[in-house]
Amino acid sequence: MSLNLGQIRGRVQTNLNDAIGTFFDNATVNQAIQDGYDEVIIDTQCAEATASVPFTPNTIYYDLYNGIIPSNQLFWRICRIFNQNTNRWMPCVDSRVLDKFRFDWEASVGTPWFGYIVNYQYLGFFPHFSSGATKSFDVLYKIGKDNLTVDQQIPQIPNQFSRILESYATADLLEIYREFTKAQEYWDDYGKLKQKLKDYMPSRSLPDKLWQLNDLDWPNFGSV
Amino acid sequence: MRTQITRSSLLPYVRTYLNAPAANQIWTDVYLLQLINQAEVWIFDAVKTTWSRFALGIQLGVGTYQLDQDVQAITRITYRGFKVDILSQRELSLLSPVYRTQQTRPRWASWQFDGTNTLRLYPVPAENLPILDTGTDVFTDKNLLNECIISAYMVPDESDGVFSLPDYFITRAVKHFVRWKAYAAEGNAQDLDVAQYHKSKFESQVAMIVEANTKVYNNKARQLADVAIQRPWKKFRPILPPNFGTPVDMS
Repeated sequence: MSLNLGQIRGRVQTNLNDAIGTFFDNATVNQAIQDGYDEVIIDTQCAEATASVPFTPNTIYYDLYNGIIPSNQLFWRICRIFNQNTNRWMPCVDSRVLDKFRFDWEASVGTPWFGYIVNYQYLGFFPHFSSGATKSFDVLYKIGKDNLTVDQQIPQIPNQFSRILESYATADLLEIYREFTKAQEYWDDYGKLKQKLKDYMPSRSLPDKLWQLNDLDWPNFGSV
Repeated sequence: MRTQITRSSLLPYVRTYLNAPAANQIWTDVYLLQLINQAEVWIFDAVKTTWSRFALGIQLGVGTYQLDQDVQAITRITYRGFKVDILSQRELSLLSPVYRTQQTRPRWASWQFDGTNTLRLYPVPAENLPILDTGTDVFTDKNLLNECIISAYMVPDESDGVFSLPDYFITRAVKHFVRWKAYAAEGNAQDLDVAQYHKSKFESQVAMIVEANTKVYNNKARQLADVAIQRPWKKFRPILPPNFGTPVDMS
């Protein structure tokens, strides 16, 4: 079952025996859940999205962090870039590679073939369009922050790990009153769940291969 | 456009976590704001994240230029679109004994010995190149051929109202840094054990930020589109003659 923000907050308040908000108001609990969500997203890379960004004439560097995502999500890192003008995936290279192409590569104009990841914010292209870009480029990216704004919002965490934010927020809030021993139990649970989620994320698209490997153990095949 | 977290907006947040919610309760607001500002500087000691570009106003016959104190590491300099390589003063003197006076179009630069954050261009510019635009045009090619543009990693400015770090790194790290320093400070609320606990939490947050920043640069991951590159890293393996490696009696 997917828990939304309001349900997670209710569970945290139950853990703290503070259902009516004597010690922590809703905003404080929500902030603790958001902090945990931020950390889980960054550490496990579990939140992903795709955006289509129009090529802007004469632009070398695109501000993805401030520019591409209109909603309440923040860009963190690129997974893949697809140029709709060429129907090709674009490789990302280091600026030193671009310097080997042309030492004035920033001035080169044409259809972009390479991306240059500068930092969490900027993406450069070589060459860059001066005009004539009729289509956009698609960015497949990891989200760095997904703001939880309403109680009905469901965090982008697989269902089996939905307890992770409850554990983080409970431990985080207990520490305000220096209840470190009580908090440690929730930190342990949080740490185990986070490690499982970290292991799960890269392996989730490989079920077929796992199944094939398991096939080798089937009794009919004898010893392999 | 995203909403940046302002430094002052974190004050009630850290006060909640210090269990001192009222203004100036136990610790003064001024002191806590100072700690909030310092947190980001501590993080920047460990990681370079903020990158920017700016134009440098060039004057005829002037070889040295004072850069902003926020410049942490220069990644690229272009003069009228052409790359300017950074060398040491020793290398410049080997290039030309008259590198401090020779005038033409700059091809090299040195960020050494001429003073803190002072950049020397060689050859000395023989023209004026004023800054044409201070806005976001520096990220386009609009003035690229008519300006000297520097790309660099920057350090945060404490006087800036907003954080330089991305939002998803800020709150947790600041929370632990402020609690570490506040509980370690002399006064009624001093508790060195708790301060040490939050110090270790802050350090683990910084380690997480460093790792997350490393993941941003996924350009070394092999991709399907790699076939379009020349693959300069490919090492060819020549077929050696069959007697290669056979010891020869030289006696």
